[in-house]
Amino acid sequence: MKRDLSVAALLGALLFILPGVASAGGYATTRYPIVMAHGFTGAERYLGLVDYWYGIPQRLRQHGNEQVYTPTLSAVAGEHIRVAQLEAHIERIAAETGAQKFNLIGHSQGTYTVRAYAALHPERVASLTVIGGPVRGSKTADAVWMLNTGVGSVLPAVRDAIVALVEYLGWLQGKTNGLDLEQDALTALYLSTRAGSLEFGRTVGTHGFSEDCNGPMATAASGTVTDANGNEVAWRFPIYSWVGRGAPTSVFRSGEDLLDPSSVALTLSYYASKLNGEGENDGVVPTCGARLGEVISDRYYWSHLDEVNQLFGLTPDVDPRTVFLVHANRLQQQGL
Amino acid sequence: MVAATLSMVSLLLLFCMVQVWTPLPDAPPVAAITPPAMTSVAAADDPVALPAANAAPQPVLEQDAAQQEIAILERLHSLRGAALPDGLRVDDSGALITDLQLKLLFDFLLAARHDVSAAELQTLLQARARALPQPAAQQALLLWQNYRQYQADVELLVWELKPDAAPDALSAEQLQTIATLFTRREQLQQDRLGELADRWFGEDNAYDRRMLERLQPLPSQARVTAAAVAPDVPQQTATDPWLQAAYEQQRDQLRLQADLTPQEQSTLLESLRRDFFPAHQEQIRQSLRDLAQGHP
Repeated sequence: MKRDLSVAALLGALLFILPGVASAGGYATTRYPIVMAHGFTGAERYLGLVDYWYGIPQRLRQHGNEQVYTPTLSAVAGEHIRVAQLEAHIERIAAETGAQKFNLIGHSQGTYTVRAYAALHPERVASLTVIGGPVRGSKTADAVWMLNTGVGSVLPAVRDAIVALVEYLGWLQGKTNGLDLEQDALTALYLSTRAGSLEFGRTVGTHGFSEDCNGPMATAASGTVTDANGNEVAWRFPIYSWVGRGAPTSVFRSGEDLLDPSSVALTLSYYASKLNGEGENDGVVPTCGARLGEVISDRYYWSHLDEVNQLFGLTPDVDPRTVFLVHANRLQQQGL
Repeated sequence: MVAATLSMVSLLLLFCMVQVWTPLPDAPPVAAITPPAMTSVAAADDPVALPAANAAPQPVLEQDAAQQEIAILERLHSLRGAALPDGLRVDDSGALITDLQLKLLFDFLLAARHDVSAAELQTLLQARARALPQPAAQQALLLWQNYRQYQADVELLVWELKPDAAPDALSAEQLQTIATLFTRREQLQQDRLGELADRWFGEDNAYDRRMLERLQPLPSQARVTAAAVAPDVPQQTATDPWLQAAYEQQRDQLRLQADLTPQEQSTLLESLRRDFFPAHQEQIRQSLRDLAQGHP
């Protein structure tokens, strides 16, 4: 029995593990609130109905984290608009909770938003986590951008009509979530191109960023800022990322419906990216290009939507909610 | 048309097969777990957990088993830095406690399915279960097997039935398919886990049903969307309009210089922003505006 205990202890020790020493709050309790920024065309709830972060805050709450916030930002806009909205939400959360720092998590374009926030207010960031982020853009976005500029130069009225429609749909997402939000489709698209994402990485979202996705990346950022009283304040936060690598219709792994129109669209995008030399991807974002900071994993067989446990939690492979749960505990272990 | 469709489907299937048969590359490198530092944490918090320094040497076979377990743990990259949930516990009478903590432990291990093999996960659980009295240890392993079987069954069900569409673009037929899928999944929960089903999945099932109901048509009543409280977007420091215009003029001139590489242009733009906006935050905000105003 004693030997069994010693083996168990050793195993526990190896993962920072201790039976029975979890936080009094629960496995997922974090010191600082978790704030999640949704991606392109998203909202807190799709059309005000279905949660974007499907079942994820609920699962974290089930294990003791009552401080999870999922604000609605402009569905279709650049970061000059979205980050100001995130700042406003965070200030409101700070006023409500008294929190001075925040664990920021972004998905897809939301990863730009949290990175921009971290650039503006590093002293307010407890941790930075990016999921399925187009950190280095994608060739698919380049192709869409070229199409946009091509159509725009030949048939500007058609291009403007398409942009207006996309922005209307984006506005509708906000409206059904009770908010009237500014939209800017072209900047949102440009950010996802390789040129736009690199420009963003060089000038704004520099924390943990390297242009080569296979190159070394800083797993934490640190520095000092001067506060309102003129004092130097030191800050430091860890940076994490994860991303899926599953084709939405990789029938042997995710088995989704080949005949569904949206599935076919994502599949074509997936294979187009592969043929275009981008390697594994989640149907929207190249797997390698999504790496930032410490890579938790890029081996989940998930599509871009699976990463946030859509559709309706019917996600093949690893349960995304567990990945969030484990991550919350990882932050807890660091006192974050 | 049919031939073209078939060709496309064949091509897709070929790609799928290639994907299945292509060995996965190694996971990205992560810093190795360092036992000594963690051991010190353990020593501080749990006086019974660590072997005493003068403990009797363990038999060779047990030491091998421990080494094997450590080797597996070291490869759980995706769980690195997190605590192993304290899911294996017994009550005063020695019976296994089957609350959500036990499910959490199972989920935790299953989340590492791309780090190590299923057999290796089983080895880890067995190692933990050895500390339990019988029959609790046996019951834990049995539940683990049933839970894994349930997960495998659900995965097959998802393969078979899941419609793939955005949540705001589902047809009535697709909604019905999802409802059917939920019902069959709940049945599997009962079949595999019996009386535990409601305790482990009750909350999730209720959430799923609630979400699905929101998409059902409501013929006799209008859907009411509560107005959210729109937080005030912070007022950014007002920039001198003359200064802003001067900056934008120089920026646009710089962007027109065809002889500059993107890298050189980026460096010069950064320098220009520093000249015009000494505060770091203003430089960042101007970068964001540049991205919005400056794309081709």
